Amino acid sequence: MDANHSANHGSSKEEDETSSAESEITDEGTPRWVKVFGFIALVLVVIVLGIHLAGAGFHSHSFK
Amino acid sequence: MISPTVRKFGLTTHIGSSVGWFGSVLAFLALAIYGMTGGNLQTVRAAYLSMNLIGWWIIVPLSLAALVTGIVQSLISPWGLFRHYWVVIKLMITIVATALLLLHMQPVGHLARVVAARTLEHGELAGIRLQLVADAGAALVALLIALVLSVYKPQGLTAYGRRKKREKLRRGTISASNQTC
Repeated sequence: MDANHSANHGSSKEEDETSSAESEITDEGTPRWVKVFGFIALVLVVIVLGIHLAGAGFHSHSFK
Repeated sequence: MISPTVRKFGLTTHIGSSVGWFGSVLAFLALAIYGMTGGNLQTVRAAYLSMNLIGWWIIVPLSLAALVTGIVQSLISPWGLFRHYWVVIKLMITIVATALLLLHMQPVGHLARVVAARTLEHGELAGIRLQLVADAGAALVALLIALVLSVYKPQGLTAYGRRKKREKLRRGTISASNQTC
């Protein structure tokens, strides 16, 4: 009985640890550096597209 | 399971192709800057002819090699391809840089054809010449970012990575419970 009890106790402890580790993983979310990186990348894409679409600055891809 | 020898070989080819790509873009940038600002018209001709050769024979193959070996390396290592943000961002940088490189090899070929036929005058085709400098500079910045990501490996799991980690934790708990019983 005691052995069984301690086995159950050990198992529930492991489950508690797992669920707390799981909640940590869930709470992680998107890191700030990824958000900053994404924002900078978006701004750069808009600037480059703007330059290309405006036809100013760089030469177009056709030369004929 | 992949043996450590195969994994190290994969890592070596990936680092070799990536570093080679970075170095060849540096050489390309130097030639592009000289092509735009250089005084000797014959050397300018040689620069654009060299850029075309370096582009097709070195930069394009190395970029494709870096992309392929990077994908393979991530799949045979514990990092995975879509589990960590730094791997995903590096993959995106490599795909975009390779696609833009293939697209922007067209102006290089055009300039090489022109200088093969005649000498370029100062200021002639200035738009394309400036574009090549900007392209090489942008590629260098992108490759530097990829290099920093590879070395520092900033933390952060994607949604897919978090799900995989939760599944692994659950499997670990189940197998530990079975062993306890």
